[in-house]
Amino acid sequence: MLFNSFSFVSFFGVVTLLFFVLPHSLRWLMLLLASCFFYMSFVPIYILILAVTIIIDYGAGIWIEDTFDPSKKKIFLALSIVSVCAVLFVFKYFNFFNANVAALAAALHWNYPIEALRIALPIGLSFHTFQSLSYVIEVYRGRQKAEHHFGIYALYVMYFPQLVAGPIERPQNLLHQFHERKYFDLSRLQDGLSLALWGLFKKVVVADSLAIYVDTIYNNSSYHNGATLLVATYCFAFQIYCDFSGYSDIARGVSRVYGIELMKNFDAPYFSRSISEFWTRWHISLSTWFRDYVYIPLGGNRVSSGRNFFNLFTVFVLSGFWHGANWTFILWGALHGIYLIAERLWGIAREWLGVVPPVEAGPVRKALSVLLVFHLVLVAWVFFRVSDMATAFDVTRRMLVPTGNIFFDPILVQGVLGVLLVTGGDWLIRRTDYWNNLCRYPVALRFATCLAMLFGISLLGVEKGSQFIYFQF
Amino acid sequence: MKRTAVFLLLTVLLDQGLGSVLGYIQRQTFTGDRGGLLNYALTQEPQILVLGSSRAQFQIMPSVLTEKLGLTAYNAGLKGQDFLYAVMFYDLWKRRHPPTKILVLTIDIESLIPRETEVNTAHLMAPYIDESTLVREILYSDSPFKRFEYLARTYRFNGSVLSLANHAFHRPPNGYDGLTVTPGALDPVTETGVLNALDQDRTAFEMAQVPFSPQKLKYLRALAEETSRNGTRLFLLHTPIFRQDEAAHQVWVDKLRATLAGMPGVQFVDICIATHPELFTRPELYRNLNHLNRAGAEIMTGLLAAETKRRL
Repeated sequence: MLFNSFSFVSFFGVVTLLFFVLPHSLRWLMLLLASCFFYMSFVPIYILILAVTIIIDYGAGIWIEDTFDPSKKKIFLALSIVSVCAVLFVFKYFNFFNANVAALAAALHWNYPIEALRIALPIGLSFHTFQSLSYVIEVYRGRQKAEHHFGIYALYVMYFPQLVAGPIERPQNLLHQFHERKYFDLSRLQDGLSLALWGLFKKVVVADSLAIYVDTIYNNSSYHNGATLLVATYCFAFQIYCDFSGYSDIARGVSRVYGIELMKNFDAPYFSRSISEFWTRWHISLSTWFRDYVYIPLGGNRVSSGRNFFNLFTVFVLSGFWHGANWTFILWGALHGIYLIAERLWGIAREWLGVVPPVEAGPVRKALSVLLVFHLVLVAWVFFRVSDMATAFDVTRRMLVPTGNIFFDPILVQGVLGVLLVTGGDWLIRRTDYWNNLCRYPVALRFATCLAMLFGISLLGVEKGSQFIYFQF
Repeated sequence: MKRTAVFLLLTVLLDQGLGSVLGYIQRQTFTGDRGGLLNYALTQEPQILVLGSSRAQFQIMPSVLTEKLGLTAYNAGLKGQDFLYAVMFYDLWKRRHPPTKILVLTIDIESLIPRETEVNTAHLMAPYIDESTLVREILYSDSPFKRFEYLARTYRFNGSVLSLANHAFHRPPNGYDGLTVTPGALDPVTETGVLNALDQDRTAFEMAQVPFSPQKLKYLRALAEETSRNGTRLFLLHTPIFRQDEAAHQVWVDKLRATLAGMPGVQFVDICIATHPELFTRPELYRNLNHLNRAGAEIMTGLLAAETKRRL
């Protein structure tokens, strides 16, 4: 049941109605059952995996809290992390490691009998694993009380708007909201639906139309020239942004209808003027997860420069690996790590040379910074899109010398117009904090915006477009 | 609450208004493969009507049919479409014109099997949904929610707006017969590479073994009865594919012939590598693996005309 389907619209309608009709004491149960139904609409049996994760971390949270012995707390935490990560390893990473070991064994002429597992990756496994881990870690750190209500804890992991592709929530933000009594609020419902509509517009009008072009080119990349590959990569940069941020906006909008606020996951990332700024605006819930649970425990930036660079690189390689069990994702993460290290080195060099950057950069300088950051991110996207390293290097090599006539598909017109609209929209939304201040704007403007999105979707939305890219992670 | 009601009312009114405007533009637009060409084809009244996919649109030359058979011809084949489009088109066409003498319908290994995407691409017929029960039946069969989606008038023009804006009020040149000329020649090495690189979910042999869709067979039977009743000769035509899978083709032809045995009056014409190996193994007659170029189309249409003449 995809967000961009009529079955989801019907499901959401029914759940919303029940949510406000039922008394507060039963709402968690209804949301939990709805979330189970939602998850089971993909691959029903995989709900058992989710159940295992939930049971382990629910128990771990309580044991950690109830134990006064720090070493026992540590043991419970380790057991929880290891067992939850083991599930992730089996389903997501086993075949990758197995294939690499097999390749190594073959190179050394050794006999390697272990075959690949024939199992599909449960949808959104990395997301709910990380969300579950954040709960246990926060309880261990004493920043979150263990949740004793099993149903509420299960809902924290399974809450359907963010179950399969985030945002990866923290218990401090989400858990208490399930306990709070929510009242029907028409303006909140309107705000939530408007935000969801904007997300849906980004997905079905922009991302899915760009996907048609990108897939045509990237599925036959060796037959296309450099100029076409460059255009397709530009398209992919906006496809993945509109796809994922569209999903996040739908999730936040849908959840807002119930009065449950999810964290912001994107903040106009392509307007970033540095790579470090990019990572505070792109997939915020994941980047802050890695910051809080990997980067800072490794020492963060309160260590020597060399160690700090190592920490940065490690975090980004892990972030790449989180996305997919493939060398291309690892390299994508590594590239971002290298960018960040280069940025830090540039800062150090500037300090050493005594070059003082202007307090407020001029518009040209700002625009150039934005363009530079965007293009660095663009090169990295190639590694994210392709399925093997040889193709990644081939595409990058040819894309950097963009020659030949650009392959034209009429869908490109819609995609480019959509990109311009979304870019302009993002700029305005960020400047005005539009989604948090909707009530301040005239009703006519809000009506017009919603109608434009509604008719945009009706007239230009791609029918049966692609699945959300991040579902595969 | 009042605002919500106003918003909903405004949405409905705007949808109806915008849908009507787009409908008007669509009816006045006769070029562009997102509806204009289809609209133009519906105004034509030939003695030979050609229907089908791009393998009709790019390969069957109405001028050759006219020259060899002495009958006027129009090619209403459309890129990306297939059997369901053809039956919906014919249902709309027959409401506007007296019966044609000959109906040629291109058919391929995948034409009569169930295909998820086919109804979706046939959404092009949505502007005509109010005119025909058959069009409604087919378009609604895509999902249980379709009948609600099509209540929105604007949705009927989903995916066609930019093409409509580009082609609004345009007419094709005089004498246009629906054929789209495809120049160029096939490079077998590159083309095969592209084919292999594509994500083909089923091979030709797998497709040949899939049972025909009962829904499609129902429409084919109805079409056969209709044409037989009004004196139209119905020809199902299979056209050449470079490097056709011979085994798959044989399985499919046997299955098709067995099916057609129960439909008197339907003629099957097979023009491909299996029947004319001396001609259709030549790469210079193709534009790509699935389509002949002008030279190939001329030869193939000549063969079709001869076969039609023989069977009339």
